Amino acid sequence: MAVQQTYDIINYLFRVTAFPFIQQHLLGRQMLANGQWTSTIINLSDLDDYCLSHIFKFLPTRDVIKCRRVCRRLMNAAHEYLDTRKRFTYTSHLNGQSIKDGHFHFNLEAFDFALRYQPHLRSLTFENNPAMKHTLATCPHNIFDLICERLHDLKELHITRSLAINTSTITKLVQTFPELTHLTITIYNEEILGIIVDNLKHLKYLNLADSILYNYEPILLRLPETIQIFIAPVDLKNQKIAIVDALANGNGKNLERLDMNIKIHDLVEDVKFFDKIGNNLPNLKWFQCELGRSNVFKETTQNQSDDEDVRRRNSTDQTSLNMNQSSIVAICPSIYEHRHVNLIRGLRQLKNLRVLILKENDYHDSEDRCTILDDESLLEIFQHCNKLEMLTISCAIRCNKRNYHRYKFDMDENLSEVNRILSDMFVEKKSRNSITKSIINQSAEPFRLGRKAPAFDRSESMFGDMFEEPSDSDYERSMDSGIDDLHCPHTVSDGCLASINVCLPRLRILQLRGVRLGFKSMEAIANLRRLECLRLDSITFNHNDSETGEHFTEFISQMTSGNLRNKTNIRITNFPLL
Amino acid sequence: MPIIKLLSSDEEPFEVDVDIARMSITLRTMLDDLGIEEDDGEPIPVQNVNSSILRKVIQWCTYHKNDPPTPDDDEQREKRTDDIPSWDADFLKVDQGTLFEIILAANYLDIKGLLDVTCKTVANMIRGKTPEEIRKTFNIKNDFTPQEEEQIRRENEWCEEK
Repeated sequence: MAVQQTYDIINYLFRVTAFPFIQQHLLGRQMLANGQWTSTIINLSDLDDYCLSHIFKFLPTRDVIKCRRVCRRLMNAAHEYLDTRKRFTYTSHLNGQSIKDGHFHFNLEAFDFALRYQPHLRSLTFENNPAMKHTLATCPHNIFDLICERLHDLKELHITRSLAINTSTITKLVQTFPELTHLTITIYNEEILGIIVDNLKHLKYLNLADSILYNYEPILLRLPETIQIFIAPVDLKNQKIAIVDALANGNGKNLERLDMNIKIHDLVEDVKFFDKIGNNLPNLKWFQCELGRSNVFKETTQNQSDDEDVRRRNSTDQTSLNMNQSSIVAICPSIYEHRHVNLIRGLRQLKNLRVLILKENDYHDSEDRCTILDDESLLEIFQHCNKLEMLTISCAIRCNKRNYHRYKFDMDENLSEVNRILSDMFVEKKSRNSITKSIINQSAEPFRLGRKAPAFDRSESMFGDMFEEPSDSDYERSMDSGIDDLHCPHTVSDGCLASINVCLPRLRILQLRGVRLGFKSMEAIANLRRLECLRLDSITFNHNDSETGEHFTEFISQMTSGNLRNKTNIRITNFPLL
Repeated sequence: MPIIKLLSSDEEPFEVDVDIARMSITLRTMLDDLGIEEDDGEPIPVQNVNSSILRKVIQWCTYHKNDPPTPDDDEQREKRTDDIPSWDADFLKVDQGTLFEIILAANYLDIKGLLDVTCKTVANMIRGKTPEEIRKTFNIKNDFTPQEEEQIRRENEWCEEK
């Protein structure tokens, strides 16, 4: 295109400098004797290669391949398009979903065809959906041999569980592509992890989300220098603290993004986990944690010595509450869990944090539980992590037959919007074909954190003066409002969220689930000037607030009136009756 | 609002806001290189675009002048084609010849938003069709020899409809 433009400009310059008409025969057009252009009707096959490949970009690969059969022109254009493609996702649509012997059949011809016609791929992803996972898990072919044979420039591979994964195939893979930078893989063998970290010296992204690995901390110490993103396997053996230690003592200390899926065993002990993250991983821009209570969850209130311990910890804490504790305990027996153990408080030290995602697992008890995400910790995080652009707080919700939450928090529609904004946030300015893909519950999908994030730097200089620093009095006010009723809120409260517009002016994505809202927090959300995406699920409202309905109506009208603010995308599910 | 004159390939003059003309990267480059700020009498020829197409292009740009800039391509995922705004869908209810001419014009003038939406429209016309249906839809002649056709059919066998 650039060439064409230059040509046109030169052409134009010729014309203005009084060259008579330079005749240009365009597709299907002729100049008549009287100087008028006429056009014969042009056809799809008359479009140039660039336009055709632009059309192909909007088609699934299967349809592009089918276009080969239409005519020569389209076949050549399709070949050209495939040949220049750098990134490719092998989808179950392309694979076809035929079932053979009770399994989804891995279509080796389709896969081989895709690799043969796209030899310059730099990134190969297997779609992360149940059908493709099933297909791969039962595929008897050694697809790694095929990948090693057909591709030359592979830098990124995202694959889930596969029968073909074993020490010898992975050894061959890392020896064929020592330059791999991004790897998603599901492994059940620590030895393979060792092969990966020892051979891939340029690894930036390592996603082990669905893997099951035990005692692998010593291997994490050997992570290469380049590592930026680590997505840990589910922590089944409660090794989370050792894992963070291993990251902090090796190259993992430079991590920019960390995703973990953990269980809380002991509230007091597990405070250390978050403290260590806060203390030792200062570069984190993105922290994502799914957490739930383990079966052996230790209720701090049941044990007097732990209780003492809690009090001792908090007595040094300036922001702790001076309340009549016994009266609160009478109202809510598990009060210590979310008010007096500041479980996630350590995260406040992550000053560079731009994305914080905290998701508590749902539960099936007969009794209601309090969330383990406490207001005080969150308030401190809000106050210290002013750079946050995305915040997700999903509190535990009790599931039973009557109270079954029907909606997945991560709706697909919502996810694509969130991913769009995230990729914009972490965009690497110059390189067109690298960048982002995501995210959230889709473990096999890679996400790239750019080393530098120019989009953000730019916005900092543009908006730096617009936002006032939150003053201490604002903070105190929100602290007060966080605990203004004696009733246990059971969850993240209205008052806690009332401070977000002051503390987190940069928020672009806010997702809340199972939290309690009131007019203060709604006002705060409505005042988030840069908010692009708001997702609310299973929220509750303050009981003592009789005008909730009106407040909410006003909130929505404020959010949707498009005068001063950018339009915010709002999705609400499982809304309480007012 | 400064105005400039454009001249279509069939020599029909158009008066356009500079801001609208600058949505075309090609015109923007030209204006910047030649230092044209506003109307100095000399119309800018847009050689490859005839008046009926140029009128459509200007109409589209006028409607979309306040759009946020389209994000850069990332090759990551198959792109959505179900997000064509209804105004654009109505605007593109034209015969195929015109649609392809708008594509060529959008490409020549380098107007990414217009190129995207027109290519999406064409992609939607191709999606899910058999090769024969595609030929019919676009009135394309099958120019393969029987041998070639058989060979491609075999290569493509795995992706044909069951």
